[in-house]
Amino acid sequence: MRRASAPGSTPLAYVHGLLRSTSPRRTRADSRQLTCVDSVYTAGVAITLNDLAQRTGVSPRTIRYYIQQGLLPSPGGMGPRAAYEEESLLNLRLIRHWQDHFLPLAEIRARLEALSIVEKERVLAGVGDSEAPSPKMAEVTSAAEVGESAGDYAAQALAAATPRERPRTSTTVGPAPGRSIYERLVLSPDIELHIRRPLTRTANRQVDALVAEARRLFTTT
Amino acid sequence: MKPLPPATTLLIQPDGLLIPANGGQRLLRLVLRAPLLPRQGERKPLSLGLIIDRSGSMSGNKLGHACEAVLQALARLDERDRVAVLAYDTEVQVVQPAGPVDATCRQQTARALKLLRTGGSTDLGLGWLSGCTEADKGRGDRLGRCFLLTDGLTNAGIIDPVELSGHAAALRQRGMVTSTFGIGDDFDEAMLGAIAEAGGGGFYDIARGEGIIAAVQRELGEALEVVATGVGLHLRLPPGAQIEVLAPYAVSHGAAGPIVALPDLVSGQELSFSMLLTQAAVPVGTTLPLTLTAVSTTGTLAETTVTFTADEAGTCARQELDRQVLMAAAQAMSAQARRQATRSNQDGDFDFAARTIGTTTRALEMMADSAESPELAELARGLAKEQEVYGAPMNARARKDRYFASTNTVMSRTVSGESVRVPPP
Repeated sequence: MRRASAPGSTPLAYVHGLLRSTSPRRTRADSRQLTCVDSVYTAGVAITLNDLAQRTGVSPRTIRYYIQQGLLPSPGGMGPRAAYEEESLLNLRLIRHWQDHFLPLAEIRARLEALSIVEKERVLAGVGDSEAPSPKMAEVTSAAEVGESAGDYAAQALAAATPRERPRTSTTVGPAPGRSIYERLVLSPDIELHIRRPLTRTANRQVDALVAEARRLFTTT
Repeated sequence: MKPLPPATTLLIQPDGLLIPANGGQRLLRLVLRAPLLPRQGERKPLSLGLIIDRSGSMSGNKLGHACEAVLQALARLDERDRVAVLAYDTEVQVVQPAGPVDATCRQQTARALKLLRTGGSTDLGLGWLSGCTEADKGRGDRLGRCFLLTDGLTNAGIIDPVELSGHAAALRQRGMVTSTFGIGDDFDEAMLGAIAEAGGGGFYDIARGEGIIAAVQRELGEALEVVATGVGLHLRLPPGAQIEVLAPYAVSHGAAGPIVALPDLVSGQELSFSMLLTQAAVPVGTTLPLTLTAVSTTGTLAETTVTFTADEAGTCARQELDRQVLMAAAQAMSAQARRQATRSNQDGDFDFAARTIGTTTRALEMMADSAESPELAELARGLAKEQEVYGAPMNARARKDRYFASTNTVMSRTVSGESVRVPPP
């Protein structure tokens, strides 16, 4: 489901609304079962893997995958008693948020590394969200406004694949050879910034600041 | 169904017009109806990329049917259109370079397809992106379409579904719509579904090779009857309101409010989906207008406004709710739960899959109870019976059938994956 609002409103929340506005005799179902989409968490309380999954709607298997990929901090302890930090909850919500905007995991990892816990909370609250315009955010922009053809985009997406990923081509169609992974950020319809990934945490912050300043400059001139 | 009017119409149905003044929610059902294409000859010309997976698993009749589907697609196009045909495994082969669809093109393509042989692994990203590059050559003002036919998991090149979906969205933004055709029992339905959703095209689950031709013809038929492109639904919300779309359409934030990106509309299409409006507390008696405007690349298609009124919670609780709107939202919630459960089942996370179904079942039970609706209660019972199915290993075909069916429900498509159409009068 696509959300155009801050976290917290869900179809299940609608059901809660119905329950609040109807008489107790109708509320036979157990509303505690609806906590899987609850966006509230308690500071300082250890969270289990199942808690994390229920609160975020992300399966335990996927959570373990994210830990392997460095998107979430490792839990304290092993097995069923493993305790997760609040930051894992924040990260999972941010991952889902950015995945909704079709950002690749590598980019999401870079963003998570660059943000403090407070900054993550601000992004989730919709304050100071530093997200770059993504395909989703600009989805309804007309093709003419994009300033780049589909063919050019597809060719560049292929060229951005890693050398390991880049296969041989038997025709003129396909990527040019290369050695580095570059992320391409469009600052304005005529100006792009190419960034070789991965960057250090400090460099990520500097790039974010540079992009924010550049976008401000180009949108005001 | 009613005869189609000559222009696009936009209908919004709320489940009730009173919203609790201390804050509350309303469900809405939206119906967008497209006009008929005036005459077939006035259709928009296409620039079509046809991309065939020729990896080893396509051997047997699948590759043959895919090649036949390409030839039949070419037979339906004419010199106004351009086509490019590519085949891929871990390499790309340009079967037919981009060019107008004429007799020479058809002959060359037929000859080249006869020589096509199955090969190695599957680099879906390479084949698809190369196809988009080729199909975009000389496209001009034509509609860009890319049909991706594959039967396997992508195991080389770009394999991250999120990254592939991101590319699909970006290509759609640049005028190249991607449709995906999954063949057999081994493809990744969640990945192909996500690419098509982001790419603005249809997703087809084809159990057997024999079904390829019909599916490609259906999707091509829709591309040949497009009446509106770049369609977006612009919402102007009441102060303090938020909206959630209960369908997998992308939502962006425009200057005046949220914008829901919708697929291109085809002749006589009826597109419907549900939304959830959440209103913050306002004084009793406040009027709360919600305006929806459907726009396309050519301008405004239709506009409508629904006005809510803030009232005491008790008064709101006594209002008669529109059960058709509740049922539509409940069906969307059920379908979305099935999609999520299917993905968890595919991942081997059976417990989570069962819990996903169980949670939504309980939500539907509450809705049924609150609205005193036997139809909703029946829907909840039906979903409850499926909990056990999703909570155990499911064979690939059954899983794909369920994913395809639930995707069609949330995307307002028929059981065979086509857009819902209102029959001409």
